[in-house]
Amino acid sequence: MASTDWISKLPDSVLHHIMSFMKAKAAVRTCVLSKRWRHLWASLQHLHFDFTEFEGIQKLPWLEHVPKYRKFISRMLQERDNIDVHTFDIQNFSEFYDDDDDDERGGEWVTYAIHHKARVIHFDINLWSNLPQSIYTCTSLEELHVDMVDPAPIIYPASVSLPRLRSLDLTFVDHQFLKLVLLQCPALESLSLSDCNGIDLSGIPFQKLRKLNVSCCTMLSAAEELSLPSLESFMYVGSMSTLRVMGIESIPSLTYAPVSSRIVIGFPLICPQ
Amino acid sequence: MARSSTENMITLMSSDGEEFMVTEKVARECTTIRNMLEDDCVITNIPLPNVTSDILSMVIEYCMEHVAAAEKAAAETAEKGSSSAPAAAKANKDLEEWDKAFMNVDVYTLCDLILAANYLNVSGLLDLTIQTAANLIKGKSPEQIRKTFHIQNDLSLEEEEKIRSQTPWAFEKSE
Repeated sequence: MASTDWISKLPDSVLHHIMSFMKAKAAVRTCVLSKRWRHLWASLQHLHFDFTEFEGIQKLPWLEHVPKYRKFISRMLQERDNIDVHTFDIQNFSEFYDDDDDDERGGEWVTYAIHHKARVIHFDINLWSNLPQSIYTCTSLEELHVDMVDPAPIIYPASVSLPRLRSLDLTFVDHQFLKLVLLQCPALESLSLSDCNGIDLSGIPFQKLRKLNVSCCTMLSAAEELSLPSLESFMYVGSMSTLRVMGIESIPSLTYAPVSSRIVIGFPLICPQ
Repeated sequence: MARSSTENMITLMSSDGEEFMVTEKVARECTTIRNMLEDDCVITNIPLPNVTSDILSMVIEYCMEHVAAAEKAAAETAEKGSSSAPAAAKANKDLEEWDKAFMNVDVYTLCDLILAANYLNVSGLLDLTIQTAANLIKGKSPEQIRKTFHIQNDLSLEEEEKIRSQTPWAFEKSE
């Protein structure tokens, strides 16, 4: 009893579930534990790539670990079984964009995820051209989080169809981009916007939107012009002047906690019925 | 549909024949049991041949705690007309602390709880136990993982070397 190998007796689906909470490198490395674990990683559908798994300890300059990280992602995608991806998550993806090859490679990885019917895609990028156009018509997609590191000229989607998208996080996009995308996301329940200027959300039918987070954006629309029938929570980080434009202060049921006279963070908004 | 206002009691029977009386509300935390109740609303006695009494009592303890927390939050909302954010945050934190203490178990119990949560389909308990198992693997060398979970290494040294050489991209040293 004292040395029974219980974990190896768990079914594949449960072991995959455990591995889905691990970063990719740790998950692949379970292949040497025993014969039971030999091939499990190859059918894992949750891929969490994180540069911090490759950083090493001080001795080498940080940049020298970039090729290893890059190679790991490419090889894992090549050598895993040809089955669908559930979650495709790359942390610090933008760090190693140093030439055109990387642009292409990054685009290929995301295209791989799209072709493998990914439901969740999270990553950070440097240029909108790194994002393949096919992401805007990825019908399997339920969650898309794109974190732009710096502002860059926006490339607008040619066509958009995201019927299953429930959660969307965007940075440094403008009004035109948002309008193109948001009009084609009928299932959207959660929207987070950071560092977007001149945003006007009026006229967009947010039938199912329950959660809206706005951080460091300037908003041009007043709250009463927004159609948010299902809203349960609103988080705001930014200047009071934008809140005044939105007219949110005048909503009587609102409770909020100003941290200073200029900045307001994280208050729940109970929308007037 | 079984939707009663009075507290129906359900008897759950473990693989070793022990009986546990629970309220229907607690039993319904297990999606597998909820489906059974919805298929057959007069059922009051449910044998669970895959779950031992030790593990079943833990699953019930977890479900009772989470039902009580949800009821308390609902009662507070009803009383005040709306939930107060700081009180809700504190209740969440208390429940998280309870979960953390609940996970202070050996790896055998953990694996049994995972199997039971998977079979009974208690999503909160499944996430909690799976996350706990993943945390025990993270950041450890293969040798340390084997030791933690008593995994019997049936690979010869040569076989292990071969696997490493076939997947060099995953085993490159980070000096």
